Amino acid sequence: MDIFSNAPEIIKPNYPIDTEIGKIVGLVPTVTEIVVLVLTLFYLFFAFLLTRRVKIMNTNFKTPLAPVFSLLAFTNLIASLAIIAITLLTLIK
Amino acid sequence: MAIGIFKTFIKRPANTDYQGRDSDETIEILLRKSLYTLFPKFLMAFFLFVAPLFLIPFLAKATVYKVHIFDGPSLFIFALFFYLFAVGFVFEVFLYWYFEVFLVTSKKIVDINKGCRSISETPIINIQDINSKIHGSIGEILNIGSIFIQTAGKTTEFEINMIDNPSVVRDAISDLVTKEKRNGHI
Repeated sequence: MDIFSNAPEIIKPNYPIDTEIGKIVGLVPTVTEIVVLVLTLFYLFFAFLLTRRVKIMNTNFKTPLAPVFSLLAFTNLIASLAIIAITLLTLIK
Repeated sequence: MAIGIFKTFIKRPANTDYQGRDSDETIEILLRKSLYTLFPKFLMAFFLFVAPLFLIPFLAKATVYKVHIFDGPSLFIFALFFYLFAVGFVFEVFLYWYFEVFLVTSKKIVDINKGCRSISETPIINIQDINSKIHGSIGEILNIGSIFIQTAGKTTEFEINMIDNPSVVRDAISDLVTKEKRNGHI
């Protein structure tokens, strides 16, 4: 879906501008990955806090699902680390 | 067990304990808020899980002067993060619901709130009055209401909102309190 497909011929840019826009558009995936990396770093902090919170909850109120919650919180933390690693590998490529 | 974790009123819950329970004290009733309280957040979670199914194909096809804006790896990473966030959101919402409980034991009533960060308790002997109330049309349709427990202690009233079958719960608590006071277990 080209967002400029309905523009009349007379206002479509010339070749030099096409190249410039192409360069700018080419940066979008990299910028997206950097934004996701920053957001995932924030999420990593939240995931770590969640593991501590689950520990406090399981200490104050013991339930049969305590090991399940601890495992899920830990898995959440590992998953955020994995996404950070994947994003870094994609950026480095 | 899968259905059991969503129960909001449990008598004599098995394998359940709280910090500060006496050795001769048993947990008689466990109350949680109605599952209806989770409905708006689960609706949000549903949107979070479904949105990428439409957003990702749209972004994959988006072009500017026939140049694709997003490439495969960036969209893949974006989708991964989006779903991680959605799972984390659902997990936290469920945790806060699961750990916000009201316990009636053989000796005390214990109110655990805000993800176990706030715990209030008072001996059963301090309970003076128990009332239940159903609010609004949704409450009437789904039989959801509040329980108000008047006490003689420092915390003069315990209020438990959005409870399923408040009349049944009020009756169960009242019978238990009467029985424990009569038996002199406190």
